[in-house]
Amino acid sequence: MITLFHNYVLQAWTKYISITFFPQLWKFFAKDFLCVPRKIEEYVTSSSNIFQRFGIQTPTYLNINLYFTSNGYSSLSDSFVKALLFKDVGLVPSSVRFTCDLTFFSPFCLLLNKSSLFYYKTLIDITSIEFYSKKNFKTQTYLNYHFLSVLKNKRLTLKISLPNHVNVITSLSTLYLNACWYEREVWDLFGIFFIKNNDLRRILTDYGFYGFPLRKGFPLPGYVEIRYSDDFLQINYDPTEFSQTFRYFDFSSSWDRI
Amino acid sequence: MLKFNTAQPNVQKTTQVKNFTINFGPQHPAAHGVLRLILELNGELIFRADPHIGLLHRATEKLIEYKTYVQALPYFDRLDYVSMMAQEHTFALAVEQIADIQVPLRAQYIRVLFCELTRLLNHLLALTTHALDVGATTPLLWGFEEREKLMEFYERVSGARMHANYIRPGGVMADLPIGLLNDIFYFTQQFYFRIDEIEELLTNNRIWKQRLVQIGEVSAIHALNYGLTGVLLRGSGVSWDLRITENYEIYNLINFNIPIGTFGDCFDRYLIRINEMRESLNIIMQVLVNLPALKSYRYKTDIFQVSLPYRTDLKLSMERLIHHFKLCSNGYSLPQAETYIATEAPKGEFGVFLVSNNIAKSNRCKIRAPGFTHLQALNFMAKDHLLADVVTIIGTQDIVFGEVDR
Repeated sequence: MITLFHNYVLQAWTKYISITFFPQLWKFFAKDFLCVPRKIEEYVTSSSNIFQRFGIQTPTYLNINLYFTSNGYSSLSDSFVKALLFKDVGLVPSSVRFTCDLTFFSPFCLLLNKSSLFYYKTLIDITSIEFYSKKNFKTQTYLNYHFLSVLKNKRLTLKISLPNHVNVITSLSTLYLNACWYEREVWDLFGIFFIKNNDLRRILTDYGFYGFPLRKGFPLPGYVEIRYSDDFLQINYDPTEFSQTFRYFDFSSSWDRI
Repeated sequence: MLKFNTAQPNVQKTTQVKNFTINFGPQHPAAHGVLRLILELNGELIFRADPHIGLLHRATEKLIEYKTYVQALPYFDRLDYVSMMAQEHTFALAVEQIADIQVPLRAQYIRVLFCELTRLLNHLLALTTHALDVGATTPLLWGFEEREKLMEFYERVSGARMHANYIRPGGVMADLPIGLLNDIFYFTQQFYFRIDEIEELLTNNRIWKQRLVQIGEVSAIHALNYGLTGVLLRGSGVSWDLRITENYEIYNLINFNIPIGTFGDCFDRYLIRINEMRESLNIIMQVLVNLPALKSYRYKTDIFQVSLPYRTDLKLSMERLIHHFKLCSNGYSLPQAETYIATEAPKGEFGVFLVSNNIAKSNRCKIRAPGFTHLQALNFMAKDHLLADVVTIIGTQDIVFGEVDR
């Protein structure tokens, strides 16, 4: 599967490179470029701000995008995603949502960041969702990566389903500098391990906390409570005590769904 | 003959210099709450800054999974407790996106009006406490006077000074009281001068400039890669404002400018906040002029599966009373869907990732707080700065621990 993927990438890259460096070829790919941001003025200002401010010459690929612009919907990047053919592509205005296989994950993110076709330079968020089915008492864990391309005004949500009981995935912390804390948070709250994250400590919970609190199996009141002890002049951890146990009423609502 | 030994002794001194590690916070007033910062110092220069957060962690996301959508809304006020309505607005938008509800125009105008008042509320606190950390006391006193007026508007419209619970899915809680718009108009008229007064104290002040210019510089590429949004991204010269790019509510009907910076330092961000307040006043004035004022314009949607029945009907009809009770106890269930909504909160991109599950409670509600991402960049921004500049950088990042720790 990986080799297959690399074939796709290579083909795409050769096409892309040939387009970039040989402007004579542009007309052959013109229909791929039927893409331009909503407001051209905005686009120009944002791109010029980034590059011209630091005296960097505007790269060639930006010029391409500037010339062939349109509504950003059937854009090159979207068709590129379709060409890569992941499982399902659902399009919402100015954002793309699709599911990715675990093996494709890290090379695809590399492509998202580095390729000028995508230019998803910003990682907005990493989230985990746990679906619990009452039928077979199993949970299915998903990881959602939200990317943002400021240059193209596009968002992309990458959804990865983790196999059962294999809560491990590669870290993005080398690619996106802010991925580290997001991954720490997911590790802290869900117990999903990120390989190659050098700083995978807990972040939101207490020092020496036990368990992963946002999992469906973790009880809402928690396991321990903290109180200051006047006798020992220190803070003590005790098991939680409630005069009434936590009650959760799951009304199956006869109220109509919207 | 006297001989002077002019040759230097050939001795190389080797001294081991060990970096000094100090603990900053969590009770430091400049930590803006409960930030514990482990600073590794090289002399007086910051070698590494390691923020330890989570001291205000209240498990909001876990609690929301056990609450109906109506009950979940007040938690958003308590996240970033200086920009309350901006956040409940985001959650309301997320619920509306899943439920596919169109909000009436008057409600949209009211929402925008209060989101911009919230922006003033936030920037007043951010700027003036920043000035206090750096050493200027007076702007704080003047700014908090204005904040009182703004919170009075909150109180008149919702009954609460801070945690308003006013912007509900489907519209707003109640219509504007009589005379409120008039008073907001008078407020804006005098607030232009208050901004000028604060600027007179700070903008050309030599001490203020010495502390802020060329401190915490972030290039545009780094700002993007660190996920900085809002003022921090605009300070680096990227014209990016979700009010325009995401195009929610009626922001496309309003003309306003996006102030952007040039050098990406703390002083640019200060100027941007000042100018954003002026732009907010501009937006408020346009809202006051264009707000649909006829009584036929409703302040909440007529889809009564979501919005509570009107108070007058409640007193007259038993059915409406049952309706009200069912909505407040059972809540309403949303179809299985997931959505990510991002809005331009005063601090940056505030996002809500909501996963509904066919029942009245959400399966997962992830809150994307801008402060969380900004605080992560503290290590990068404070590196090789003096110890006193860390305070400046925390101030310019506009950190509030309610949203960072959630």
